[in-house]
Amino acid sequence: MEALFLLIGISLVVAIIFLVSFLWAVKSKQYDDDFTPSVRMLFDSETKSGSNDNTSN
Amino acid sequence: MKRREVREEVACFHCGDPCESDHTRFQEKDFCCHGCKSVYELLQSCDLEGYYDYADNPGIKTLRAAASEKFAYLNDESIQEKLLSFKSDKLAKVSLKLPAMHCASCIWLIENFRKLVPGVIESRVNFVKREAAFTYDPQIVSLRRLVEQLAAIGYEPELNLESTSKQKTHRGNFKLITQIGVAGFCFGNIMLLSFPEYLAIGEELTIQYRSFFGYLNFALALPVLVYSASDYLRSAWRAVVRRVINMDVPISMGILAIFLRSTYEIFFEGGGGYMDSLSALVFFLLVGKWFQQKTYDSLSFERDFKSYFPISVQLVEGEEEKSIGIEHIKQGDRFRVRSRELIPVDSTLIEGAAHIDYSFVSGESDAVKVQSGEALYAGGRQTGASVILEATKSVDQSYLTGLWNSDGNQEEEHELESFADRVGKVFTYVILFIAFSAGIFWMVFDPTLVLNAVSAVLIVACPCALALSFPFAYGNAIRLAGRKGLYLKNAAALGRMAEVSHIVFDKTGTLTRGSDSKVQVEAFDLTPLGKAVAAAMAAQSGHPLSRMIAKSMKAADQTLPEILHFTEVKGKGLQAEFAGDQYRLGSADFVGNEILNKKTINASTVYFSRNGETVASFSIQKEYRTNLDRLIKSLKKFYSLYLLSGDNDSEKERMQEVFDQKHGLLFNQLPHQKREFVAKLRRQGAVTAMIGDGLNDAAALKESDLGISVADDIFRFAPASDAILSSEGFHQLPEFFDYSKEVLKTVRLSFVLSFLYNGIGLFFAVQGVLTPVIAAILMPISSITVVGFVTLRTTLLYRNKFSQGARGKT
Repeated sequence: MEALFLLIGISLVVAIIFLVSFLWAVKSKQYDDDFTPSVRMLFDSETKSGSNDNTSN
Repeated sequence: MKRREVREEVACFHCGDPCESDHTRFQEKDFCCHGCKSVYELLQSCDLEGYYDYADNPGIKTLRAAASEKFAYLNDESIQEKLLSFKSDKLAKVSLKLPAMHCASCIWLIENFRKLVPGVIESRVNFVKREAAFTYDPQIVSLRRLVEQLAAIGYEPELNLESTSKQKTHRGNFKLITQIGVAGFCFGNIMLLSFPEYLAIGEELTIQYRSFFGYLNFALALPVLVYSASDYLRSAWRAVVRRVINMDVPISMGILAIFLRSTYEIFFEGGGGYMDSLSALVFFLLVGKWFQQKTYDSLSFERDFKSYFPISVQLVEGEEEKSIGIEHIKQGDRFRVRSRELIPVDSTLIEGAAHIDYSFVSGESDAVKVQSGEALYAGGRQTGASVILEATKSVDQSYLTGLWNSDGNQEEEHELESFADRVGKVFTYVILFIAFSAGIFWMVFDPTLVLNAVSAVLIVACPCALALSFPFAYGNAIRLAGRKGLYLKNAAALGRMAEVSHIVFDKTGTLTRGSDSKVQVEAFDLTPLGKAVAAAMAAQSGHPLSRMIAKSMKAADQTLPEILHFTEVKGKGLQAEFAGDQYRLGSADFVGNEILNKKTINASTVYFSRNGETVASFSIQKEYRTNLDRLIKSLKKFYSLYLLSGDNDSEKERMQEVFDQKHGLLFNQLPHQKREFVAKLRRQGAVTAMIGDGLNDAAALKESDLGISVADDIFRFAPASDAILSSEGFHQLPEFFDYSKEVLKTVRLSFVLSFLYNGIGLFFAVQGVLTPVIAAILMPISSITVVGFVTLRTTLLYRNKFSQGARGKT
């Protein structure tokens, strides 16, 4: 049962990694504007720049 | 000729406004005006027709071509330094507020701005804040050109001193989210680690692991206490130091009690502690706070006088003119004010014909004609051609800004004890009393249980329900009220709204719709020539009625006839000569016809005669908001109503009729008089709400317990008030007041709920048998039910009140 100590320790470390990622995501201002990206997604990509999405032939 | 009975409504392809019969047609599309057509052409030439794909008629009507010199000051280096967030030789970045953005098409167009203006590299929109960040090459395009092009397509940026002087970094939200993240992280993990404790698994191995888990719980609870709960602890400390008890005091008491007791149990008794309840409590509290904050992030309420004044003026030195920031204007400086520009400082008129619109200051939109050498005040808007003024004071000392600044300190004194704080106070005392009595009781009967019972009482007495019902009830209510046009600054504002007893109204702009008036022409024998002469005469006069007549009579490009021997007889009218005929424009007896001298209510009539014969009459009506009578009548049932107008008392009778009272309707009120009136009411003990619209109400708005500013465009104009009411929402004012009272009732009901939970918890606590399991179950459940209840009830109330209400338009 000594393994329990180790396991809990590791799981906490993993959890902390996620917490740090969360904090980074917030800091990078991704959540400042949660409306515009949803609209921006729907705009057509330009034909000039040669969009590289999958075109079915 | 057959007359068409049904007139087809043609909508402008660009902006959606209805087109007149003589509108422009271009490429099979209809446009209401040249402006819209030009924007269409411009977009088409740059391959930006996609603009019209994402929304219907997304265009914005550009009212008039901006004076070419309007943005000249943007060439100034010092101004640029304040506006740009980054500048190098090849790269510059600027963030501009574009209040005109309102739809997906706007986002699309602004983000494709580089196609319109070569030199712009990238543009990114933050729609929520109505801002766009531009990256451009200053060697190819200047800031001035960028802004000019934005204005040309209808998205004129809002540039003012406030945006340049303060770079407010919005760090507030980031901190709160981090606190939530940390609290949530610890909450989840502590609960997981507490499972063995709850479920009493593996009793034999418990001792060894119990302490291990205990230490872990302690370690995880530390960040919660020190970081996530820090705001509550600090606020409670500050309150206690000032000998006041606010809502945060019982919360902090609970938090500290849990923490200390748990720490003791973990280290000295090898127990598990109640850290799970602690982190759960903090987590839920913070989520409540975040929910509240989210609601009013999109509107910024913090504006002072600097938001309205232009950034710079043209300084005139001899023959030269250059731009300087308005804070640099000194006494004696001469500067130029162009048409439709605001006067930034108190000054005297040196050169030019000044017709000043003081609606900002006094609410009276009728322009005042100023003679050379006379004084002009900051806040007035020049309606004529450009004039040259000499400053007599600097910006900070001018009358209006003095008014603002003197009120700036009032904010501190306005720490009204809100309902929440009062409850918090009572709650604290009650709990302390119970804890104390429990302690005494056990001291007598079983001293070992004293500490247990006392701390248990402090732990379980969850003000969390109290602390949560407020943010969720009010947060939800504020969000819903916003949907119907009332944007409240914070929960305290809604709370105060429920307590209001007296309401003070401003007239112009608040009860009336804007400052436009309709001129109705009744023609007896009016020829086009006569019309032109009337317009020419009216244009010469500064009298408010004349200006209105001139505005409505004159067609856009018409050249007015040159009239001779123009004279203005004060109080009576105008007379002039043209082509041998004598014309008179004025009151009935002046014009020569006594029979018609009747003034209809809410309209003033001006008569026009040629050679003594009345040929036409012009009736000018002030347009009040629709259903104003109904609104006032329903408010009058519960509140004492007053009217303070900066305008003259020509509308007195009408207002007396609408308000159904003779007292409390005051006219010709200056800003400081309005403030004094509100202050007087408050001194008498009344909770006063002030409803106004302009800068002239600002002092009174600040002075009142609840200041509501009415705006036609909620993004453009908001003096520092507690709430903004849009024009569409105005007619529902009685419903809003009702709703605020209902929301308060909802909160009170939720207290009953929470007392039930507290009662159950205390039942265990005073006996000294409060186990962590019970606490861990009771507290989250009580929080969730309270939150659910208030959210549900406020939503149902909203649906009830506002869906079946009269959907009248103002």
